[in-house]
Amino acid sequence: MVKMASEEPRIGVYICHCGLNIAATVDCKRVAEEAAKLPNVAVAKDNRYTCADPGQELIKSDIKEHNLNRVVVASCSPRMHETTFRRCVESAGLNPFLFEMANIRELCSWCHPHQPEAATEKAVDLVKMAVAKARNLKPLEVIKVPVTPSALVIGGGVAGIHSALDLADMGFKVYLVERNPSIGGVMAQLDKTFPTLDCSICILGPKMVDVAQHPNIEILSYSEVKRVEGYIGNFTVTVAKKPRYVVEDKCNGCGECVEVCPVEAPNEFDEGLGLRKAIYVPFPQAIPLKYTIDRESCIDCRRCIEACEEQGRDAIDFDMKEEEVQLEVGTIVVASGYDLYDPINVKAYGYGVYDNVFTAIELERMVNAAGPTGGHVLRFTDRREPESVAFITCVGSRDEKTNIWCSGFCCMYTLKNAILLREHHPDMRIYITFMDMRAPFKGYEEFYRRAREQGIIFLRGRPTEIYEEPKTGNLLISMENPSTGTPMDLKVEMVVLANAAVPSAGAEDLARVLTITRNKSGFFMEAHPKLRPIDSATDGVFFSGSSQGPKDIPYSVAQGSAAASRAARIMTKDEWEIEPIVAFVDAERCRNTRVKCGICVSKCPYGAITAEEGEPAFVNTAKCHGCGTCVADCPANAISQNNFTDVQILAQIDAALEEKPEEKIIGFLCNWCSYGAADLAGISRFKYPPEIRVIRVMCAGRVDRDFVLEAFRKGAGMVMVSGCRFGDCHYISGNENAEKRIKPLFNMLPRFGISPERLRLEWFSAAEAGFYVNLVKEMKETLDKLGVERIREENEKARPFLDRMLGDTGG
Amino acid sequence: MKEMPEELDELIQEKVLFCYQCGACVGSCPTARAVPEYNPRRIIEKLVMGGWKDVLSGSSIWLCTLCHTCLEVCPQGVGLSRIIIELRNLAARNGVAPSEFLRSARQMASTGWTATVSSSVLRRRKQLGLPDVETTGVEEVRKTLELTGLADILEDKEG
Repeated sequence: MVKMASEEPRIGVYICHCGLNIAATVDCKRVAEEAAKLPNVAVAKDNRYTCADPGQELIKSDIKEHNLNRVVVASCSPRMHETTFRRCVESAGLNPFLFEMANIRELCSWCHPHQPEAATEKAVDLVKMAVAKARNLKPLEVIKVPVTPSALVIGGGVAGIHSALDLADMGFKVYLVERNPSIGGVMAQLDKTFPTLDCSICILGPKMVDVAQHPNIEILSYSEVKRVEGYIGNFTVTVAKKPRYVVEDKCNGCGECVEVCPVEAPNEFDEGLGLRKAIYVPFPQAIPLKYTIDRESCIDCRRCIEACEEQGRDAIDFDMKEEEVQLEVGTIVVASGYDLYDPINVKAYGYGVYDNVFTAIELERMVNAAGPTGGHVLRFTDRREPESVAFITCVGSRDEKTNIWCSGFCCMYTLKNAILLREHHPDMRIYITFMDMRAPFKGYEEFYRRAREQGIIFLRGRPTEIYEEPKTGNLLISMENPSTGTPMDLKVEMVVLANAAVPSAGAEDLARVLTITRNKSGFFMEAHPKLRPIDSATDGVFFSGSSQGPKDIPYSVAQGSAAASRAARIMTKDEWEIEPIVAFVDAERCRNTRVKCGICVSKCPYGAITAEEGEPAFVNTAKCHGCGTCVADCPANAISQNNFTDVQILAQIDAALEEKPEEKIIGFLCNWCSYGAADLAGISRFKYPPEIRVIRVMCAGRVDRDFVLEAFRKGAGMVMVSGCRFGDCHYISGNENAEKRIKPLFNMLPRFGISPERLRLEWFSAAEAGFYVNLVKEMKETLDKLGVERIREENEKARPFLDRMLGDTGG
Repeated sequence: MKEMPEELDELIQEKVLFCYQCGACVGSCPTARAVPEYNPRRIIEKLVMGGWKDVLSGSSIWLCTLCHTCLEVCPQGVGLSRIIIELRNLAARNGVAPSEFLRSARQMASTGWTATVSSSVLRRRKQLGLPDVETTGVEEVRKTLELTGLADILEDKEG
């Protein structure tokens, strides 16, 4: 039996000592005594460890004994134990959403150890606020959506291949979309793999064949994902199949067409070092082994048609058009890979100017026996094998002016290429320049050692410039001579650049299509960098391989399988449960029935809201992520968010400001970044002034302008609205909407007589605890500078304006 | 100069600590090519390792030609040449700048020229019928020296 909340609230409050973590600073007994005095509080107790079994048992028995219908625990961060306690109250027959937490550890005791009195006062306030919210809590039911047991894998590199194979082996239907004519990705281009020197295509080829032959996998090659609609368990995906001018079902890969084709074009697979025909497969092991016509270079002689007809087939169709296919899937794995940075941008190294400067992948194709030079490494200028080669690492990596990140695998593939050259050419002089050699995984350091054993010379330093001797085509590398500390010009016959791994060109479009976010570098951003490294911010969408950040082969394969398992976790169920903190519309108040409004539709980052003409707006709860942006921006106050209603938040504001409001700071912190930073400040034991009273919202986007005004009306000294840095919002654009909404207040407040510096709008990440601490210190300084008297005067002056503006929304 | 000047501490925190000793500055440095003892990377290394006194009172910071190539090639935006300007200012302010430089500065303050013209040259000029070397722009130079605070430093030294 789940107890309903219609009856008068009877709240149980539990103040946790957390051993001495809280009790050493906060007088927990006093907090419990104060809590006991609050209206609707039936019982208030303090205990050593509320999360431990005895603590949980106490709550359960109190629920029965005192007939509690709400529970408040004052202990650690809700990000730590909210789920624990929700389960606890649920097992005692209470709806899990009739539980509220007050964070008196991370936000209080850990940060104010030298101010026990003030910390205790703050803890009392935090408990008051939680009780105020608890009074207004409503029971919520978990939302269930059906799940389609099929998956879309975007990208057919080694990561996507493994995601697809694992999911298919588990019995799910898999659509593998690849933008190139063949699957295989970068790995298919490689000659050998580190640290074992396995032949790359020899180990990848069989996997590619497995994909082709798997009854559960459908490959859509030469195709791109155009649109994704729907939500976890129920995505509708539109894939555009580019015309390859060869009918896949009819082509048997015989290659007679190639024989007659008169046109040659640079072969992309060989990095343009070799040639292919206008009708081609990128490489002999291609999957699917179907030809493609490159119409850019094709001269329309149509000899291929004749050749194909002679074989008794008519596979070639010059009238083929782009075709759109719709797929229904339950989950999506993004394995769209990476691109190599164009070293032409690092002008000092002369790539594209000096003929004997190559990239590593070009070298890789040359070393490969099936490559354009039949396995010979040749200088471009005189087509002979060089006697000396220098490998330069970090080209476009770890550099403020290009890309700041380490591309991760360049050290290792440089070692590999150097070792391959050494094995073919025992007398060659081989140099590797490096800033830091990064060989951290299993067998990698040993591989580095092997390179040194083979007489490869390692020069620590970053070359500044490369010059060419015009007559010989030899190259002079300017760098510090690590032994003498003086500049030198190292002369070699060939240079190979390890150019950086960068986000793939299509990443931006794909991010938009999937409503997923990217970090500053442009790689896709995971839901949590440590504990949810495979999940995207969009439920049901997962990352595999280098789309999320540069990865080598074993790491990509591991993540490929991990993504498959994360996706399967959803698809093994018939229904998926969604947390009910979603938005919902009060149809009676929605003004879209009378005038064309649709503001909520335009504000929703997920396209979860529809507003047909003359109809009230409608929130698709399965698509709603619960940021609350629409709620705050609704001009008619017709939208509400479960568990973060206006009534609940206003009650928290009022409770926080009951006493000495002029001395307090009301801080609205978003769950993911700014609250995370505040938690981290606690965990790091940073000290800051205790004046701040924090109200947690899921996103800064939820913060209504009225909340800020209400806080000032109730006398608050200062108000802060904060969230993730731009580009990092966990709800894509919630913070941007918050800024648009809150910023005008800086102009509006002075007109009421309130100093604008009493409002702060700040963006910082969950890692920036120091930023948060400084912010609170600054705000405290502002409070002190203005002084209680002045603040009180300003508030008095503003009250008539605020009363008029807020009307009935206030308390 | 017992305590590290605050400006230097700031400089180290904000710029110097980002250096990862790749030596790109050395490879590109024209002074280092001419003067083997001069190694800009080691200036940074010394600052990181607490050798600021050596750096400020040593001669190496005065060898830089301020061509700013190191600024251009540095992958971490350490901006070595700008740091050197700061270091020279600190050295001058703390009275450890080499006396030759101060002599030149004084020369410039009084004549507008950084180099003196020797009496033999003056004689030769006269023989050749060339005009006297005149002091030039002294007022302007003095104003600049006053505004930058160098004038005070020069007076201190004299006093």
